[in-house]
Amino acid sequence: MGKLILDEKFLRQLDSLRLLSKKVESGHFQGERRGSKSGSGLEFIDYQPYQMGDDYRYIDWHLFSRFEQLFIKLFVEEKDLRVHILIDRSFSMSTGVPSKIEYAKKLAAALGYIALVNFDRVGVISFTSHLEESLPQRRGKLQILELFSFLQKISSNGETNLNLCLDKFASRERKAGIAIVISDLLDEKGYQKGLLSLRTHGWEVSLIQILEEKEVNPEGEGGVVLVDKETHKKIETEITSSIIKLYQKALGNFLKEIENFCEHYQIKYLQTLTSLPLSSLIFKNLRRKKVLK
Amino acid sequence: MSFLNPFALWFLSLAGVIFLFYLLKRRKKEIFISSNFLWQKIVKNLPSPHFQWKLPFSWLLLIQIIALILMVLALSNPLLFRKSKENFLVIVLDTSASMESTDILPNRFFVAKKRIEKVLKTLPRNTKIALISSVPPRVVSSFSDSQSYFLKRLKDLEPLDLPGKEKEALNLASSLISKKRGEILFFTDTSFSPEMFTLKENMKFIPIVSENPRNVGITSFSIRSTAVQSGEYEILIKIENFSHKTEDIVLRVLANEKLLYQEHLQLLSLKKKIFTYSFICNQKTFLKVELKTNPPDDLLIDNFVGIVINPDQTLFVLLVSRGNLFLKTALETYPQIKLFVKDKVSLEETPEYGLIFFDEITPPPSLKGNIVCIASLSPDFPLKSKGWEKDPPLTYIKKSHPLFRFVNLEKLNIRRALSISSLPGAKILLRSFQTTLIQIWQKDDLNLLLISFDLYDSDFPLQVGFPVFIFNLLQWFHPEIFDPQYYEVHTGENFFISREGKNLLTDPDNHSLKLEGKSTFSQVNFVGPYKLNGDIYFVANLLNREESNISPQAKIYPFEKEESSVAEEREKWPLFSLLILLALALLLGEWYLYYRNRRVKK
Repeated sequence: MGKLILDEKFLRQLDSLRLLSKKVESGHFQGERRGSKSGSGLEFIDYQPYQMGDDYRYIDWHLFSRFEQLFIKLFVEEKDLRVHILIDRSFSMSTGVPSKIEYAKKLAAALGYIALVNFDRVGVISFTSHLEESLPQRRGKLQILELFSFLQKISSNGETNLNLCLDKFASRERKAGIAIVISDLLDEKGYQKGLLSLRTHGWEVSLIQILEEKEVNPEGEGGVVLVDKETHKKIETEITSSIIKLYQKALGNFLKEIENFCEHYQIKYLQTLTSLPLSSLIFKNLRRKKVLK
Repeated sequence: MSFLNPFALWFLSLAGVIFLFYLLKRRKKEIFISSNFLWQKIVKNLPSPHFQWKLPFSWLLLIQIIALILMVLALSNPLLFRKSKENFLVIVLDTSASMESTDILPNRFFVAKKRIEKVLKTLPRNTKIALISSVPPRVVSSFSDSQSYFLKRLKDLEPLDLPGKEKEALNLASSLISKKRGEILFFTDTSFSPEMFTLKENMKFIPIVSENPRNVGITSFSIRSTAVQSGEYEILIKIENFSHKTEDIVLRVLANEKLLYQEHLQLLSLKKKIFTYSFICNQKTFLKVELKTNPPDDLLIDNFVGIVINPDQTLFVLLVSRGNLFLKTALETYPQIKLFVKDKVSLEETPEYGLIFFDEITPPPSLKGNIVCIASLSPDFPLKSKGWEKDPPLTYIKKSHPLFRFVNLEKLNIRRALSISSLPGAKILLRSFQTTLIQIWQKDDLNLLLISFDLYDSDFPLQVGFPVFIFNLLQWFHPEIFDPQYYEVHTGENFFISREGKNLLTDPDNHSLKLEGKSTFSQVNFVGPYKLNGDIYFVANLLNREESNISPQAKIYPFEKEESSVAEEREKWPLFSLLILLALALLLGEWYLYYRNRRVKK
């Protein structure tokens, strides 16, 4: 049995939250979300004449006695939500205090818990330059420990290829739902294609970018060799205050670019630092971005 | 601080070499970041970095530079001068008789004290001072910071009418500072013999003397009884003029303050003259010789000599013998002796006699007093006779002993003698191969002269030396009766007071001392008559040529112009070892840092 990534007190606070989505009809099973179609829910909406193949259990025998015609009772079908959490576990996620991957795992655990508590179907998949191990979709509170156990096993390694992995994921999954992508987006090859692929396959995408403090405010002085943790590419440079300013400007542009992209393609985008407490992220930032309610 | 080898400081330029090595081998610090694709965009537009002369801070470099500086400093052999934590100064003050000279007023001793006080004022506060008097050589004030204590002890110090003991005083001073840094200042008038000193670097003589002092002194005095007439004595007086000019002198000889002789004379500079006078004395007499110059000379204590003559003393002598004409005749010669002859004596009778001869008569046991045994042994003597030894040849004669003064025993023939060994602890005066012929044994109250041969079995009584030997014997046992000069001593010598009971001794300065029974008085410090229970008992005279010669001895001794250099002295502290040790310790630390960094990187 997996160990709890988050403490019980925090989990109890999460009980009141739920994921916001327009994709309620995409689930196979009945859930707690009101679907746009009639079905086998508890809330009655209408009658319709019996047709071959209808479920006998929904025949309204009172109407039959009055009209001698078979009518089927129609109910609002309560659908479950398909939630996929995609975690970037490449080597770049290993930096920071706490590390970005640890932060991402906790965030995924919290979101997964919220979904499972609300009888949504939750699946988790990690990726680097390709899709890595995944936790198949499951629903119900009882799956929480299994979810946590899976998340605990995730560790950062390898290079990342966000476009390839997201595209592959979007193509592989038959039915769309909510895709929560957690990544630092620090991929030379870009992120746009992957996110666009998800969107075109009908996924409602929430993108949570995790950065660490040193990525925003780099330290160091004098001649240094900057080594890319993933690619081991080295850049020899002289760190000065003006260069730091140049870097921060480039980073600002990069983040702005992401934001514009997400806005354009109706992707919920949230950027956070590992230094930000998880509770603040969940109860304030994610709610503000309407990822959670 | 100074450097013995300042050229070594050029090696400091090696620091530049170390810097150069660091610049050349400088490695940029590697920083691992999540992704550097953003940096690539920035760096692409920047010019390539120039060679940087600025070195990043490095503990290793700092330690190496410091170690190099320390080693170079060590090679340059630096000396640190620092003030000695404690300076030691031993002041030796000449307290001998000549310091009473008045050639510099009020006298040399007073001036010496004033000059010492002056020296004290120039000393640094951390100086420990000790005071030593030269006569007798003793520490008057041990090392102390307290100048007030020192001055108090100095004030109490007075000169004595004693000949100087400068060598002993300086040896004492040297022993005080042997393991310390310090200086010896000897305040002296230099009236001493120059041959005995080994001058040390830290020894300085401060002369307390004027250029041309005047002094005429009595340097020799002796008295003897003449054989011409009973009670007739002859005195010899030697006077010397130590002045650099002729002196007018009046010499007076007084007996019990009655003038016997008076002479007026002129004595040339550095000349001496001997006077002899004879006089008859049949009762106790205080004989005094006075010398006066016009004007008075600078040292008065050597212008006087005195003596107590005590001719009316009687010695009771017992001769226990079956008949010894030679001995009896020899003893009867002296009017001071009342002789008793017996052929046997009991122990109870013996205390009545001042001297007992046992001539071939066995003495009773448990004898006390002065005993002469001739060819006889008491049963309680710890030795046994092995019979008689015939014609013992003389193998050892202690000629220097007072008993043999003016006695030649080399031609002594002995027909036979008792074959005995020496008594334990006895002093042997004459011996042959097999036996001890004459020995002296002193134990408890017994003074024994043991002659192991019968006088009749030798030609000793027939020799010229025999009566002389008997006189020596009498004088040795009873000097107070047979030595006319017994009641005259030189200052500094001891005097044996042979009077029984409680006595009160008063010295010439009227200091009194209570004495119990016979005792030795060792504080004969002043010239003049010493009284016992109010009567003049003995007289102390200076009679020391070196003390009387109060002229400066500057030709012999290197005098110091400056009286003390203690204040200027600084301690040299070589730093070589310390610097090398520090450098090695730093290099050890540098090695540890380097090793630790390597491990951390791995």
